[in-house]
Amino acid sequence: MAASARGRLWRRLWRRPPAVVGALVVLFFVVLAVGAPWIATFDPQRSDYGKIRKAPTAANPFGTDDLGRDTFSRVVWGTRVSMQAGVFSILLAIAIGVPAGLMAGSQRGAIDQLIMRLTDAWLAFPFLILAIGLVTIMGASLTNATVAIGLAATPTYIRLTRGLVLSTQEEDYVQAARALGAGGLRTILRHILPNIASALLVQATVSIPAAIIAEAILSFLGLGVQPPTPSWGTMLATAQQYLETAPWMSWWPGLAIFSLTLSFNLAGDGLRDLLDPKDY
Amino acid sequence: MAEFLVRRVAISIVTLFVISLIVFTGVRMIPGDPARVMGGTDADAAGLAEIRQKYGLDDPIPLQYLRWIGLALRGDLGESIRTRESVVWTVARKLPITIELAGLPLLIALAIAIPAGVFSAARRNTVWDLLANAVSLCGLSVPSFWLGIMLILFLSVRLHWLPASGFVPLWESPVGNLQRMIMPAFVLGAGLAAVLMRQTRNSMIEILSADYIRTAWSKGLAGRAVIFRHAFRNGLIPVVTILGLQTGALMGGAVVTEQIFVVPGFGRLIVEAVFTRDYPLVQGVVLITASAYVFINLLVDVSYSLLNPRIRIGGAAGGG
Repeated sequence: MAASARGRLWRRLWRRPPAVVGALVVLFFVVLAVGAPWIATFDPQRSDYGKIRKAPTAANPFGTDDLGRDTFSRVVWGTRVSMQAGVFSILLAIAIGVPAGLMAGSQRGAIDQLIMRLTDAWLAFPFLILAIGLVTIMGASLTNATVAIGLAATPTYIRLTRGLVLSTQEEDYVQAARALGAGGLRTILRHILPNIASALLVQATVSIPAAIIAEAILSFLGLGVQPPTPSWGTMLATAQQYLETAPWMSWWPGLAIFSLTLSFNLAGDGLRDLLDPKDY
Repeated sequence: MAEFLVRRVAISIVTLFVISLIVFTGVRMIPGDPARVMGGTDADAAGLAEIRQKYGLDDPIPLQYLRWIGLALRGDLGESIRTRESVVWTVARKLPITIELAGLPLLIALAIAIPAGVFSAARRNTVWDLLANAVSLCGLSVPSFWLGIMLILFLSVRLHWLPASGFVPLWESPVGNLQRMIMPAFVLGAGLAAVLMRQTRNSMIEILSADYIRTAWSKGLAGRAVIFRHAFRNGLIPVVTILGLQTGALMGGAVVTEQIFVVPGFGRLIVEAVFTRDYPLVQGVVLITASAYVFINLLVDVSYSLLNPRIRIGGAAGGG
């Protein structure tokens, strides 16, 4: 049974080459982020005033920037910043959003109303403007940008979790657990949570790339990572000043963001098809 | 119908109330003396005393909130620390640019997304459908600010076709205005088009498999008549909803796009306000954008409930 289920999983995967490619590229970026110290060929923060804004060469395959730093090494180290911001902000959103959604969905009544009205109001702030507002209060840094993006993404998870709880509660197996005398908390943790986990995972594959772009935008605006730490957003902000003399500075960080978010979306689409309960 | 309207308006009012609480609390969480926060570092003792008195900063917090919201409802959101002009006026002056930078992308997005979405749904699983989907997935994934930088690099720096940045008011030179606004409008429109195209395709596919469409086909109606006369109108309803929800993304996108193309709209305003610690202005812009978002989505919901009776009934019977 297990073997045939695994076989079916593989067959389904191989029918979607874009999803497989997406997942492999995401994996590649994870390797870059973890292995940055070994993969980068130069110290990303070391200036070399003899090599200012040099076009790509064998030694500096992505060229150098306005301070003579190696763009390749900075893009590699920037992966770490982006991944960190993308993953940790969404983990924060899940850590707050899922319990709040579980509570709203299972308690109903006044608690539900309170949580949902707060969620509606929170959702009314445009994502990026909310993140900018929060960074204004907390101060500009990578940690604060990550927290701000996480808080801005939280209401989506509250909504999603609540909706999933409401529909799952009607399922026979949950009703059966109730009838057998399982308590509220036990029902939620043993029966509801495992069954909504896949939908939450699919949502994460959509929100992580959005969070990565949000971090890049905040850093681009000067509200996220502060120089000299390399991040794709700050690299692009500098690159925009040298479009005429050093266009390569603007290619690579942007291409890195684009390929990472595209791969996340491809992998996410594949995951959605794979986990879609309608197919089971 | 009336019940649906009242219910929908009531929810919007509660949402606006909670928004105002969040914004009020947010500004109070900025460390330091609230009078100093609202008055700026340059404010003298008399100025601080005036602010303290205006907002009743010595009163209990709930009373302070009531005083603040009372002023806000009368259109007084305080004054900008930097320019000493009223916040409402400062934002209002950006309105023409904001409307242009919301309207143009919308036109571009609709012009691309609706035909592409309908076409892909009608030619489902062909090469064209696959291509349209691939392009829309790229549109969803490309960071708008990098797309903007690449457009400047190719169209301005390399080809010299368009000016890289700046702004000319529409009434001074319509051509000059369009030359400078077309790139930022395209950047904002591209992301929107990707979302709308996916939605149009999905809802058209759903509608095209509905019974009444099958009836229309079996009556022997021509393909075009079925798609446009029968499916199109119903297929567009979810697209309108998505459009309302996307206004938030459009406002957020305007912030970074205006920064890249040096367009002096409200997006640049908020970034400048953040950097100069002009808290009353940040507070005002955040409050106004969130309220505008609630208002636009209220309008969208009400307008399409007028078009589709099923939504009215469902809305009245269903949950919040």
